[in-house]
Amino acid sequence: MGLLQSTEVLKLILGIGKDMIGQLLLYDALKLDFKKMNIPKEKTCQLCGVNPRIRAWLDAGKVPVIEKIGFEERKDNKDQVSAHWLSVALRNRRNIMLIDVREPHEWEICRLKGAEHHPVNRIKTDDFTKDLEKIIVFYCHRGVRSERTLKIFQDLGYENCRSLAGGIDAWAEAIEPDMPRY
Amino acid sequence: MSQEILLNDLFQGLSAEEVKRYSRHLSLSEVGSEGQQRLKKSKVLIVGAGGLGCPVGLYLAAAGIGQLGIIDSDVVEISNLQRQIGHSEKNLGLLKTESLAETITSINRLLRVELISDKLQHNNAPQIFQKYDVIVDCSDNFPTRYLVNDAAFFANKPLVSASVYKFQGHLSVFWPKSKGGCYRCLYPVNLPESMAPT
Ligand SMILES: [Zn+2]
Repeated sequence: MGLLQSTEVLKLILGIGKDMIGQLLLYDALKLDFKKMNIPKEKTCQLCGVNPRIRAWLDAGKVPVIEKIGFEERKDNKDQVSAHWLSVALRNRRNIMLIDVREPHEWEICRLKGAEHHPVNRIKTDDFTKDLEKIIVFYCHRGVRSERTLKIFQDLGYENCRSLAGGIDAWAEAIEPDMPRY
Repeated sequence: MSQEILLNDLFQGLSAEEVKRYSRHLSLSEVGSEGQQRLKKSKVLIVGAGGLGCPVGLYLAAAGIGQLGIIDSDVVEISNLQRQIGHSEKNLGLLKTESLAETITSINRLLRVELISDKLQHNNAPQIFQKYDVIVDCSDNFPTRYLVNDAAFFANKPLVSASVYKFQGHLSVFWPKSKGGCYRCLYPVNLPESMAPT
């Protein structure tokens, strides 16, 4: 990765070749696979969007504490379900509503069968039922964003919701090895 | 003698040693003497002197970038040596900035280095970033990545960002004032309510 990074630096300075501005390259070493995709400017971006909340340097760089917490440290949390639990529950047709809270470019790479797509910044809580018979399971890439979404829903009184520990990445590792990872 | 004069005419701004050293670059039409001088005038800031920052430092030093800034506040530990190829056993316990600077200036002593052995923070980021032409994010944690993204945005500098997780690598170039999105477009977070505009 460092070599690719240096090459892009030299290309930018020299102004040669096709630049990678606004693009993302995904490299999978085990599969020797390269994928490239565009990173569009998101209207809702808090820095470069149409109505940014970060307007001055004073606001910059701030990130909620939860981003620093990996799912490993929260394994004991009863609101989290493992990929294994989820696969069994889905197979047994338990009444589960799967909600993918990742961004559109991630949804394009891979997704769980039967999931609905509600990116975390645009999710509308009123769209969901408080029906206790239905378990809402949120998932994201590695479990941080879904955990955050879960907390928001719980605060609003949704009792029967869970977050997939380790996200879709843990699912790919444990359940669906052919799924593209990033 | 006459050959040397000819060389000096062709490669104005480069010394005889530089002409030799960068000869493989100079023979490429995409780089050439003009490109090499552009590299020589450039300043590149490397945030993090670890697994990514080491190879980036080595390659950019070898290629003839004029000035490299290196930010890192850690010291070299033995568990770093398996992948952080700019450090060596004799530098265990030394600041990573100093260790990497020693390695890369031994490849190219023409290089100028600025070492910043503090944590990158709110109070130092803007002043550091504005001195550089390109920012390279080689950091290993979310808060630093958001800080680097925001600082590069406000300084309007291109940001070449990479990360590695297990066997997966990501590479992006962010320059939202030119085109495309930024790191926050890719990984949005809800900011705390205390930051709501008043
Ligand atoms: Zn953005």
